[in-house]
Amino acid sequence: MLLDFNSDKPIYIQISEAIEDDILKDIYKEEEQVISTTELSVSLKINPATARKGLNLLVDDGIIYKKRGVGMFVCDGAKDKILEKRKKSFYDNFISSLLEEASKLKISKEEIIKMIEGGN
Amino acid sequence: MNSIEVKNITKYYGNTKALDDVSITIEPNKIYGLLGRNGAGKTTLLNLLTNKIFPNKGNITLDGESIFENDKALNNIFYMMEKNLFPETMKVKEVFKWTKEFYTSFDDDYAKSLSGKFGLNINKKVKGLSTGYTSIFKAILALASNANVLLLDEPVLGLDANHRDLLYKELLTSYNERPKTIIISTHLIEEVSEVLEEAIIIKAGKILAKKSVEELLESAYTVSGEASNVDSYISGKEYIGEETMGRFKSVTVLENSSKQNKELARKLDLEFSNVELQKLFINLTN
Amino acid sequence: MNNILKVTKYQIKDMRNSLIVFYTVIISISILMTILSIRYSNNPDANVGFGGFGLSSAIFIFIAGLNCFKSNFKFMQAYNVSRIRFYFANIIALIIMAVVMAFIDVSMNNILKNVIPYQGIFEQLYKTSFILGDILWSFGLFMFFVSLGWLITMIYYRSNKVMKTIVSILPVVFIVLLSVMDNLIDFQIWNGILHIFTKLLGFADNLNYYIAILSFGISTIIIFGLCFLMIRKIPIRD
Repeated sequence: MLLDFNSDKPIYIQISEAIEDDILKDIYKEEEQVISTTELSVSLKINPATARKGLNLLVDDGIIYKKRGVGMFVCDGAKDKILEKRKKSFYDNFISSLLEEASKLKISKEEIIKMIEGGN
Repeated sequence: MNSIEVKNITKYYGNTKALDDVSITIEPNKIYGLLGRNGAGKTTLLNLLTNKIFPNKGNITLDGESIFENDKALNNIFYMMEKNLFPETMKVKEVFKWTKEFYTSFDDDYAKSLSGKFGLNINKKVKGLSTGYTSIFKAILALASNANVLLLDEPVLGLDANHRDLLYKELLTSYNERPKTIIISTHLIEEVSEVLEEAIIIKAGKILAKKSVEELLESAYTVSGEASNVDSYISGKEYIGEETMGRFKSVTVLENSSKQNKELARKLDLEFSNVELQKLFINLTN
Repeated sequence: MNNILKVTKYQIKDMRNSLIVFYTVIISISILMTILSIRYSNNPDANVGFGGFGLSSAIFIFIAGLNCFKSNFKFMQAYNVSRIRFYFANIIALIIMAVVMAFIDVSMNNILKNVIPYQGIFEQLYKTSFILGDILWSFGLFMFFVSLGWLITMIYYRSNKVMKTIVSILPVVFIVLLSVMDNLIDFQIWNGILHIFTKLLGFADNLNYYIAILSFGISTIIIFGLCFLMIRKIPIRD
């Protein structure tokens, strides 16, 4: 996992997104154990409170769950949940800024669609 | 629980006021950064916490008990001083042995395994160690002491990048296994900022801020863009760290980043970004 | 108590090596003297006789007192040992050292005088070879010197550069002034001082060494009291 300490995004959000990415890429499959707070803290040289905050974000979203004394595990159906969540934010994160930039460059809607379809 | 209460401490060296009516509470099991420029009073504060010197005014307690000449209370604290207090002709392994006498939960095996990891020759005499290895030697004592409170004064002094990395990792490993209170005094803020939970910023003998690193970073943000537009955005706001490059300007605004006026910024074609702890620190203590 | 003894243990360990070196030298000299005296004992012109080691032991323990504080206090501060704990631990260590040295010295006196013409300093001064008296007197003498050494080193430690110079010069200036004044008033001061010392060491009262032991004891206690005032709030410095 690589973090960008200079990014606008707080570290704990970067952690939760990175784990979500790993789940999407099947690095962590459903019902499998995910990286622990300690491992995150030591390998990324961050305070464990930050790591815990990142993992708790995923617990709150129902993507991972705590097994007492064992660790954190990927929930059943976590992948679908992440996909759903990501789709929702896809518009905010990408489409709206795409349209904004396009209007600055005076690119029409038709031209954008053409670009997406692969023709220049 | 080992919470440390510093109440109204004033310390003079001759006529110079090194600390001026300082009061702070150190909560248990958190990693604190004691950040300040040279001569701000970092070492003075740590020295006072361990009776190395005594305050002119005020008092310090550990769990409500005064630390003054209090062997029982002070045995909870291991202080890695910047100055070397160990007998110069003593071998490193002998220091380990004596440390075990005074800190009974000192872990000799752990100290030796850490020495191996850092490449510290325990048969060497203390005076034969380089600056970097003197830091490593003292940091190993602190880590292996198993004390509830670790005070680390400039722990990475003279360490190369690999050893600094290793030290932070070992520190975090030990902290994760057994939480303890750690105060790291340093001016190398950038690499330590994510390790810290709270930052204590000290300037000219006064505490400027004591907040969680997160809160501290949220308490300011950077706005940048065309100079006159930036000026109109920051009019009436408190700001520091003005930087101009040609017609481009960036300014650190001292207000919570949740108060960013995104509407206005879009109109003025300005960009927001997070402030780095290092930058905020430099601007605050300048 | 256990905590105090840990500090004592370090103090003793620190003094041990120099003590061993010192007695190795002293015993070597004694053996040499014994050989010489046996070889030349038939020659009536040669009169190999020599005084006690008491004085060199006293000088040695004075230097040990000078060395018992600075680096040791710093080392103990690395472990956050309180000043009061160091103070009592050091007193115990110094007592142990003085006892050990008194026993060794008196034993050596009694061995040597059976093989060569020899008198220990106690016997020379008080004309008796009562062993318990010798041990107590030597112990008192050593305690006085070792505590004095400790006090001086702490005065130096607490002083800044200017104070150090003043403290160093003051005794000399005092003695010179005293001598000059003394010259004007017929050496009454020196005689007075001499008289006090004669009294304190028991020479005035039929060589009563118990008075000397008492004087050593009282001065040691006073010096330890001053040491206590010195060590309170003593800061860490280079």
